[in-house]
Amino acid sequence: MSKILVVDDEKNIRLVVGKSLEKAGFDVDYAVDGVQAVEKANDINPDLILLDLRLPKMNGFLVLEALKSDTSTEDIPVIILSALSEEDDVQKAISLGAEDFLVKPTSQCDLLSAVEANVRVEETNGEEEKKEENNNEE
Amino acid sequence: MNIKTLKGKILLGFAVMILILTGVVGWSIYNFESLSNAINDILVENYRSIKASDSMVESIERQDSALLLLLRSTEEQGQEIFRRNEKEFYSWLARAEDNITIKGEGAILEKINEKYFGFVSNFDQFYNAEEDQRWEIYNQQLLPRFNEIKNDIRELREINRQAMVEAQRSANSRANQAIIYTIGLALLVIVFSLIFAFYLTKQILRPIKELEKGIKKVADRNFQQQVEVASEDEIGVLADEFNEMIAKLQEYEKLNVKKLLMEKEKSEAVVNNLSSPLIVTDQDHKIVLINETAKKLFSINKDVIDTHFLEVIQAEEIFEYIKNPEAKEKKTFKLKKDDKERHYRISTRRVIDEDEEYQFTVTLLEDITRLKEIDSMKSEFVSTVSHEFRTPLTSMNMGLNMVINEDTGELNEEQRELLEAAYEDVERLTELVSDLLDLSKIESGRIEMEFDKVDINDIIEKTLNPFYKQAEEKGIALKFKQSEDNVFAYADPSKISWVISNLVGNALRYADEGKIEVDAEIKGRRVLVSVADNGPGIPREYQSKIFDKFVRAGNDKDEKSGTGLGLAISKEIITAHNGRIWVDSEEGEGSTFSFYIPRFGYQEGENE
Repeated sequence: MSKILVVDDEKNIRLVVGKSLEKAGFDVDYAVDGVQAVEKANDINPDLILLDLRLPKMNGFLVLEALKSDTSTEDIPVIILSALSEEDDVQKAISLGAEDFLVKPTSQCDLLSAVEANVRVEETNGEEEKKEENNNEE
Repeated sequence: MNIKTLKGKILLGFAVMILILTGVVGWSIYNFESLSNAINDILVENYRSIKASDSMVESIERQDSALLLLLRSTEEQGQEIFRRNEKEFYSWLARAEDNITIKGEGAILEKINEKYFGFVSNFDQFYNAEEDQRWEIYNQQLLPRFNEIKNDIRELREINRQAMVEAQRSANSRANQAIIYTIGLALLVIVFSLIFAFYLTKQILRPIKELEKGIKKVADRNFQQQVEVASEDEIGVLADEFNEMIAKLQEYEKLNVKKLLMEKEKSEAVVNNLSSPLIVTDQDHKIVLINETAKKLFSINKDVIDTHFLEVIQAEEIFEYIKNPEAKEKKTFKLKKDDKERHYRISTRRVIDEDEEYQFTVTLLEDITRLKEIDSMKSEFVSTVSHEFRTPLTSMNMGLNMVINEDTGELNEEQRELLEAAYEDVERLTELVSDLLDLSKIESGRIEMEFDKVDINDIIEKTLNPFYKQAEEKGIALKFKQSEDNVFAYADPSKISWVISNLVGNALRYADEGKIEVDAEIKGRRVLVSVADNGPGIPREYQSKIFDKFVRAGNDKDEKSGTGLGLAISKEIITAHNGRIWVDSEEGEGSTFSFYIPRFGYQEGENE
């Protein structure tokens, strides 16, 4: 089961988005600020991160930058889900390595299709392979 | 008589003339009088003596004849004649004696008297003598005496005649003298009069000339000038009055100058304390006036009056406006002041004075930084609020969606209906937020227009595509007339498409049936796009307002409501194209929304 990290300071967003994803069959974890987002990304190594841009402690751009500059997290696909819709913000996020940019309020349909298009399915397989390899080694 | 007045002077002049003339006339009269006296002398004195002499000669000659009669013995008659003439003689003698006027006349008369007495005595002797002796007496005594007396009388007559001649000569000479003197005097008077007239005229004219000079100077606005006229006549008085008038004028001018100065200071104070930079230039674009604010803005420390604008301020952009004050609409510039960027809106105005002699251009740079700040604050506020709306809208949208999709369990009909109503409103709210953000972006100029040569027909075609199905469902005939080919405009295709889509969407939303016609035409320098429907139309009172934010026509039904921002955004987009959007509508007949944008190739100077 693919693991998705939802990063948003808004409790309700975490709830609704989380539920939507769970219903669609994803494993969901949450982070409430930028710092926690980076930590969790390292800890749980999710298959996709849904990242808000306006976050406490560390904003989304910085989180994105941190994730993409760390070799252990650089491969995790990131989808931005933000209320910011300026062309500049979109450009910046894409140039920093975001896979997609969803502007709030987004529909469930759009969200799911974006997630499904970007989630690390093969990587998951790869991971399983790795695990298997590890197991083999053990 | 006051000789100091002009009248006095003239009268004095005349008086002197009259006096001299009177003198001349008097002298002439005297001369005539003496002439007349001389003639009188001749007549009265000498003539009488001559007459007496002649009469005496006549008498004595008659006596002589009487003597001759007596000699011829005519006794009685002779005696009588003699005595009668004797009386006559004495009477004339007496007259002559009464009229002694000449020297020697008396002596002669005495001699005659004496001799005549002897003659009469001799006659007595003759009368008493005998006839014989009578001849002797006559011849020896009477005749010689008769001759002597006659001679004496002649002598008397002669001296009187001579006196007459003398008198006549004297009269003649007097007359001549009088003529000469009269002529002389007359000449003298003429000369004197001329000199006097010249002098008087000069005396009178001198102050007038001084006055004239003074008036000329005053006329040249030299109010310091005082007219100095020494005379005390009317001219002097006039000069004094004139000086007083000048003094008053001077005072008046001083007062006026003072007032003017005050006004000038006032306006200068106003201009200098104006928070907006102000520059006044003349026809040659030389600076006539520049206020402190402008000097500060352009860091001008020296006096720049009468210097060409560009020499002082290197701002070609502003200079363009000064060159064509009325040509362009107000534009904003960014200028640095105290190292801070400030926004200025330029407005130029040509001022022509009353005589149409001078033309000034007043350039006012209105500092609109604060306005801009407020505006951007407003945009920012709207943007922030919109953003803040978005997050809760997301959870509402997705939450409702999940529930309606029955991901969370089955719903009964009532629950579904209510939740769907809520979902619908969430969607509307979402649309509103999105429109608000768009509008605030356009208003704040954050959306860049990407102008290009575009065929409006293509845009309309592409824009209308998604609407055909919707129209068909509502039973509305949506038609693109395409009455012209190649309608090239200078526009941002996506923005124009947005506007057309908004207009068609509105028409579809409000009409229940009928038709919608879209068309694009070239009108001179512009491209005209129109969306016409035969829907319910817009009440007149709303027509002017529908392009404002949040204005909807009053007959809205709930399900038809848009965000109320579509037309406001359309207007912003068209305005950004230098175009205009408007509506023609008749209630019950339908509405035609039209806008024009610059035709390609005519985008320059597209302002109205």
